[in-house]
Amino acid sequence: MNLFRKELKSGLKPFLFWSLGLFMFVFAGIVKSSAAMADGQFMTDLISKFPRIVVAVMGMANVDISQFGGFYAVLMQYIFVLTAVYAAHLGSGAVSRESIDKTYEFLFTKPRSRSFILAQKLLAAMVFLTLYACFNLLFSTLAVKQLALTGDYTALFLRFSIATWLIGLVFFSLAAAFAASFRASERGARAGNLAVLGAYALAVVYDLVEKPGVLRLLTPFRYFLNTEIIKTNVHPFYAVLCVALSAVFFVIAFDRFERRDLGAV
Amino acid sequence: MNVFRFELRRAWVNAAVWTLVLTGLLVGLIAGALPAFLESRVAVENMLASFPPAFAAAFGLQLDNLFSFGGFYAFGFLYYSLFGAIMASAIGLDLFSREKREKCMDFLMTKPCTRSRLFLEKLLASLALLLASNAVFMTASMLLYRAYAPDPLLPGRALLAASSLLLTELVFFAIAAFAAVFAKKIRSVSGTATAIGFAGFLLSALYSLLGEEKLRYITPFKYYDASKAFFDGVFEAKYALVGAVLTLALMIAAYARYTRADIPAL
Repeated sequence: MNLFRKELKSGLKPFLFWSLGLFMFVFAGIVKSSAAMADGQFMTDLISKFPRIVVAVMGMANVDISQFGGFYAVLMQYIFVLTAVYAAHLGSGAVSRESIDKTYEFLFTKPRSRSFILAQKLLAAMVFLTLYACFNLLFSTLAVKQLALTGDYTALFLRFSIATWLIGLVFFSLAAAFAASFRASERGARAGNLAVLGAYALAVVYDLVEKPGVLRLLTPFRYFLNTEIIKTNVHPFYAVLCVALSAVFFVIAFDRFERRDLGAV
Repeated sequence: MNVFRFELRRAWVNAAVWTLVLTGLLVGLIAGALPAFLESRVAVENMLASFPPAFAAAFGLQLDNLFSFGGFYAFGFLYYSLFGAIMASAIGLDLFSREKREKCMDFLMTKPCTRSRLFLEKLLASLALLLASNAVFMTASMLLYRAYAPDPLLPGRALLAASSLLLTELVFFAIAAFAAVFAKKIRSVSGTATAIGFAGFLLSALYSLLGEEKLRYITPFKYYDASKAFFDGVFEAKYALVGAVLTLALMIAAYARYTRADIPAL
């Protein structure tokens, strides 16, 4: 538990920093939402009849801003991206931080297996990821109180926070697997970050094409579509897919980490 | 010019890959989606015909701008800016934190070379990379503009719109150089660069969503607005000024710090 505690302590400052970003985005977005929603109903009706590509170019893909729920969903699309970047940072940090700081000889000569150490580190990072999703729920609930809205949005916020967590989990485990697979820590981190960027680019392509089809499987940013979360729930198939993917990535990460050469840089 | 050459040699591959990706994105979006986009104008017009004429007229004016090369180009600019911002931040962080990361500050600083000279050579290397990358991007933009835009062509405006990528990248480069020089430790260049780039992207998204005027002053993606450049031939002076002042101020602060800071013991 020493390691776990130390990891929590050293990760706290970045976590607070990222949470501040989340806070500002969610709060500013929600509190100022009423202006953006004016004549939203009309725009939504109009836009729903446009071809997909036109809608995407106008920046309205996957959007229904006639109601607060739709507006919040647009905000969440960006929170997904924010969370993915943070999660990738957590994942590669957990694996290669000791190499970067050149303290690996200190830690990995302790009488504990590498897997044990990695598991503790990943667990601590997972605590931050989970807290981050919880903070999203908390900030959203607090911010919406500033608006005089009727109706209870807690369930909606909860569903979006779960989606945030699941997407974060995929990128977290993927970044950990990449960091464990590359010998140079910078390469591993780069691969993790590029995965986020690439997935986002695919999400944009998804919005542009008329029949995306299989494209949806390739980008976690479109696993949970706004309309689905608002109307029903987090898509169960994709939720399971997220967990399954991250399980695979974790297995790769542990497998690679056990065999890798722990060099500096 | 040893430092200049060394930095170029170390950083050019990454910059070249980024440039290829960025240009590929530009070509892919325009060649792949622009024709389909322009074709869909008919469907939109037919639909609008069923609305009251006054409304259709008001909207029709925007249609001309929306369904044009410039409109589509400006739409893509959000993504070009995102990629460009990450690239520029990566260059700034990489070059200006290299010795800090590799723990060889003493090696560089004990050379018979003033710190301002080291700083300037690093700056020059970064600018060379950014300019070369943007030369490719602008050339591709202009070629696409020739190929896809109908007459009459306004190459001056297209060039101004394309140059807003370079100007935006300079803002991010300055932010990154500032961060590299002032931070105690840079653990991962790509991680920090991605965070900076996406921070700019999120601010821009928030601005588009809320339309809050004040927000634009802290949104680097919107300092040099490509669509404004395309349709009016100018950047909005006050925001462009904020961008330029911010870039210069950050660079000067980085310079002052780089030439004066203590070198940490290893």
